[in-house]
Amino acid sequence: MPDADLTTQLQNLRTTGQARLSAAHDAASVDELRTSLLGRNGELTALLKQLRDVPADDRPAVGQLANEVRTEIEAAIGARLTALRARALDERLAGEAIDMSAPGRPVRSGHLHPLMVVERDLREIFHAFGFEIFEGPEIETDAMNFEALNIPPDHPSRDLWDTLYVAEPGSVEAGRPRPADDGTILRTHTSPVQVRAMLDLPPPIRVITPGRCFRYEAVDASHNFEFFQVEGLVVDRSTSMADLKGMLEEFARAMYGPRTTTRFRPGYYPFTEPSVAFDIGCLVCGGAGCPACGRTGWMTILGAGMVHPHVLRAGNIDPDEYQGYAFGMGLDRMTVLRYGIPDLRLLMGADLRFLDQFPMGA
Amino acid sequence: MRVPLSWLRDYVDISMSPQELADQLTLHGMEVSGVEVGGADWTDVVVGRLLSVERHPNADSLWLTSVDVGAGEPLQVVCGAQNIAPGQLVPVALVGSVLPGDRRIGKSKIRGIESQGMLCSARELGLGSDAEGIHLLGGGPALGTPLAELVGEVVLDVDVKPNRGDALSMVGLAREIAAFSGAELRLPDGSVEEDPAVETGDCVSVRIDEPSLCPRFTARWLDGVANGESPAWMQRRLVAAGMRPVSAVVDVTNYVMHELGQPMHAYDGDRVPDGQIVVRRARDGERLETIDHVTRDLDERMLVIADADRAIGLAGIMGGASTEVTPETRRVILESAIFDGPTIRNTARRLALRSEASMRHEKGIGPELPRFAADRAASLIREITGARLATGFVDNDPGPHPERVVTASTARLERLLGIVLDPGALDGLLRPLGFATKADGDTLHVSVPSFRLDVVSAEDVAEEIARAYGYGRIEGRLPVAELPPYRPDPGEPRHRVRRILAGLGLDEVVTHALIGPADLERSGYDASSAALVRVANALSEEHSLLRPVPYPSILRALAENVRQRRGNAWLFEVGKTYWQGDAGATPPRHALTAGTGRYEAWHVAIGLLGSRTPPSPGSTPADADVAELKGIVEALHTALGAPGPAFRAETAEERHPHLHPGRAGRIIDANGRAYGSIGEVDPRIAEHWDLHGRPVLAAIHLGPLFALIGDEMRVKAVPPAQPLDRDLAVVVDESTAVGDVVRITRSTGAPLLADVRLFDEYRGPQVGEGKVSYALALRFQPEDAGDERGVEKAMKRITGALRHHLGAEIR
Repeated sequence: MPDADLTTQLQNLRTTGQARLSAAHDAASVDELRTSLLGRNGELTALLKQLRDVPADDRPAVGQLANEVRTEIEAAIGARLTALRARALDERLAGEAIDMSAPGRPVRSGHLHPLMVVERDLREIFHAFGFEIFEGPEIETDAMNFEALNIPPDHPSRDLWDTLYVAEPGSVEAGRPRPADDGTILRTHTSPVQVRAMLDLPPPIRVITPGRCFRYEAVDASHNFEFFQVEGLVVDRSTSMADLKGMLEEFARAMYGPRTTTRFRPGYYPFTEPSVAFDIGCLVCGGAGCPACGRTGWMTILGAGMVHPHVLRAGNIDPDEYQGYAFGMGLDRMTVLRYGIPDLRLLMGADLRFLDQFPMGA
Repeated sequence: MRVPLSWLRDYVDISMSPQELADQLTLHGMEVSGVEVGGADWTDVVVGRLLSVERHPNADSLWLTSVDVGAGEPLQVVCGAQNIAPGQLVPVALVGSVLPGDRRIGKSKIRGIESQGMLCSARELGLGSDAEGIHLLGGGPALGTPLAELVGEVVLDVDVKPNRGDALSMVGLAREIAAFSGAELRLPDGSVEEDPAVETGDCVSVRIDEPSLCPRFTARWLDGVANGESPAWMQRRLVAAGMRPVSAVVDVTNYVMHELGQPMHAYDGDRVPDGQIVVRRARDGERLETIDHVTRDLDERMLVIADADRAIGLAGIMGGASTEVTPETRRVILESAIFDGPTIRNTARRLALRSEASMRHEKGIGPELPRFAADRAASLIREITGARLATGFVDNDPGPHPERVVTASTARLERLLGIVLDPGALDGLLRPLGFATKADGDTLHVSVPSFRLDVVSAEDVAEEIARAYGYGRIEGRLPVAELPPYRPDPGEPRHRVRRILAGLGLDEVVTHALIGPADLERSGYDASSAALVRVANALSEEHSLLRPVPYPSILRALAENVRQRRGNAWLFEVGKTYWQGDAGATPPRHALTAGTGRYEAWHVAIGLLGSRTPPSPGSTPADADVAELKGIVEALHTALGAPGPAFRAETAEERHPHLHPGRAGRIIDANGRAYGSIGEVDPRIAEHWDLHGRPVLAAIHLGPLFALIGDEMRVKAVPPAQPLDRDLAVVVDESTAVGDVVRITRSTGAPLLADVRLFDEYRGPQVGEGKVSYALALRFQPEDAGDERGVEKAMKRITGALRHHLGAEIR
């Protein structure tokens, strides 16, 4: 019975097709099989040509069987291909293993200079206290650097600031260097910026004035002829010594931690009266006394005081109406204290073995 | 100032320990920078008793002694001094002891006899000048007592502030101690026994030609002086205070200077003709041999003490050799005077001759002190040398000196200090310091003691109150004052530059602004330029001028790292350059000046040497070149929010000598204004600095750069349409600047053209000799999706412009 025979052949094709697909081990063999099973000259097509000979009554059932066989083989081909791809990928990935213990490819992360990190922190701390930043020139006049600050010529307090004098033009070239006739010097401190701030800004004034300073000073582990200072100035109608003390105590805790101990003691600066020195408990020994603090248990971090009336007048401010305080600190010293830097000279060198120790986020 | 504690105790009782005293002095404004326990440098020097003293068998001038040091067998010690006898108590340096100057005493053989230690002289112990005899000890100390316990001295090192000349003395410090400890101050005895037979005025005359420079001059006359050595106690104190004992008369003047703060001078009365003293200005060209036997050239800015003809002393600084007192001196003129501080200071500086005396004159001496001090000194000289003191004084200003009263409002004092003052307690705070107060309502009248020249205003009174009250008792307050309005921080953009460059992988350096001529010359710059700001008193040639350009600093920083075997260094510095022009000229824009004709301006300098990162497996980064540096400069602009920079070659006239002549450029803004330089370091300059490879350098003036940053940034909405990309190949002459190709493309493609990127260049047979082809990737952002027509029109404009302006051929 031809239709029975055709049915059997279709069933056989279904079974053998599945088996042959299972034996195909790569995509190309699966493609070949697709052609030989389902292609135009394939086995299923050949069988379908016999459909003409099947009695009309049986034809729909056999036809349906043929379609089922085709669908099943197509599905089997798809499944086989997916399985083969998955296996191929597994094999590839297995071959792609790398040594996960290897270090990363370097990406350069730069470094900020420790002085500038501390300067930025000072700016931020004082900014939080309502201070603004004011800057002045490094090449100053004697009048601003000294006289406006109540330090007259030939006054013994000038010994506190050994000065580098700008040369009179031509005098160095002529072999007879002499200080400029107009009294131009390299500023020995940032204090003249106090006066410049008062001349520029109407009270109330609340500024800090960071910047580079110069002194005629032999260089050693704790002194340099160039260094950085940060000066602070507050002028209003009622700011007092008690305000100064409260401000500096807060500052010390912000800078050196909440448990920092502090003390005020009398000091001397011609441009403040009364003048004080501000000490913090030694950061090395915690106050017990050690070589770092000269066995006193204290480290002086800044000088301060109530702005001298002479200075207020130099800044065009009426001392009967306004008063205020000023303070000044060495940025280099603050930096050295904060990081435990053994020698201040490292700061102005460019040795990356030193500088690379300070992370950008420091 | 060195302050022996035992000396201080003459004037005030001290119950505190030396360390407590030091702390209290510091807290009251007399900063103690060190507490030295004298005799700490004697180890194993003990009290011994001489049991026997016999001739050394092998040397006539030596003695063989037996000394009981309280423990064990008596020691056999050889000694050369002639003042010893059995029964005396002597200092014995035991074997193994160390004397001042790190002198170690060991067991030794002297002329064949073993010596088990050494008997010490005052000089050997640092107690005085006597080196001849053994320092004999008095009293009844137990044998074997360490000498340091017996005569060891505690010496405080006190930093007296420049405004407190009065505290540069034992009495001055004792007064401070008395005030804060509540003890009583004991002034030394100033009484004198004068010889009525001799009148000072008959022996000495003083003429003051410069009254403003010598407000007070007192003189006394002593006769019959036997100027031997001063007593041991005085020598010991002077040595402890850091002075060298000389002779009785000189030692007394130094002693009284340290005791009271009044510098004094003694002249050999027989060597001042007729006792005639003149205080006058030196004459130009006048010369004087001072007692240190240096002949000094004087000029008329200096004040001298003279006889009728010639200078015999530098006023307030040092006496002259011709009238120096000697052991033979029989008559003495004792000077106790006040000289003008600035004049003394100036003279001392000009002659590089600062003395204990000049230091005190600079700081000022109270008007009452000279006479008291003269009496004190005269009385001591009389006691020690057996001299007769002539009756009376020569004194141009015997006084009385008017009392100075400072008036202050109590409210103002409270406002300054931020404390509430109890009017009743004020007098108690100030009186121990020598002040007297009288309250009159809110007004406080404060009588200032004559020695407190520093107290002249209400603020000074406030300081005295605060010192006495104690700063520790002032309660700190958090800021409550009015705030000023917001103003931008001028330094903030510089910190942004720092963060951006560090984020791009560069390391920040901070170097000296003062550099040397050699740095400039090594970098190709002229060190003789008149625009250089030089220092008159440079510490060294290497730091004698302010850098006019940033390049030497960054080259030095690179070189320092190469020397430390760091071949890859990417550095930057935010700093200033300095120059001078004509005084009074209009300051250049973005420059800062104090109006001195000297200017300073901020820049950032960048120096790259080697690769960004070291090689790693599968990656060998290229060394930095000009293109990489340009990328960093561009990224800096982008991060700052500034419009991107353009670059052009330097012309011959504007050449930067540190740069490779073919690889030197300017950084320019959209208007073509240059505000920076960029390029590769000239290989000759690199060699001067021992730099291998091809370092590249850029420097940007920050003023103009920050001016490019807009105040406000407006964000454009993102159009829904997809961008459209086109590539463009442009063939131009090799002499055409690629920057022009990009610039023309960008300007003619606007506004549709969103981005231009140069991604390739080609030279070779396909474009022909002398030609180059640049490949540009253009990205257009149309408003409407698929606006091909708009893009085509823009492409036409671009190609037209490139053909027209550059003769370009479009492929």
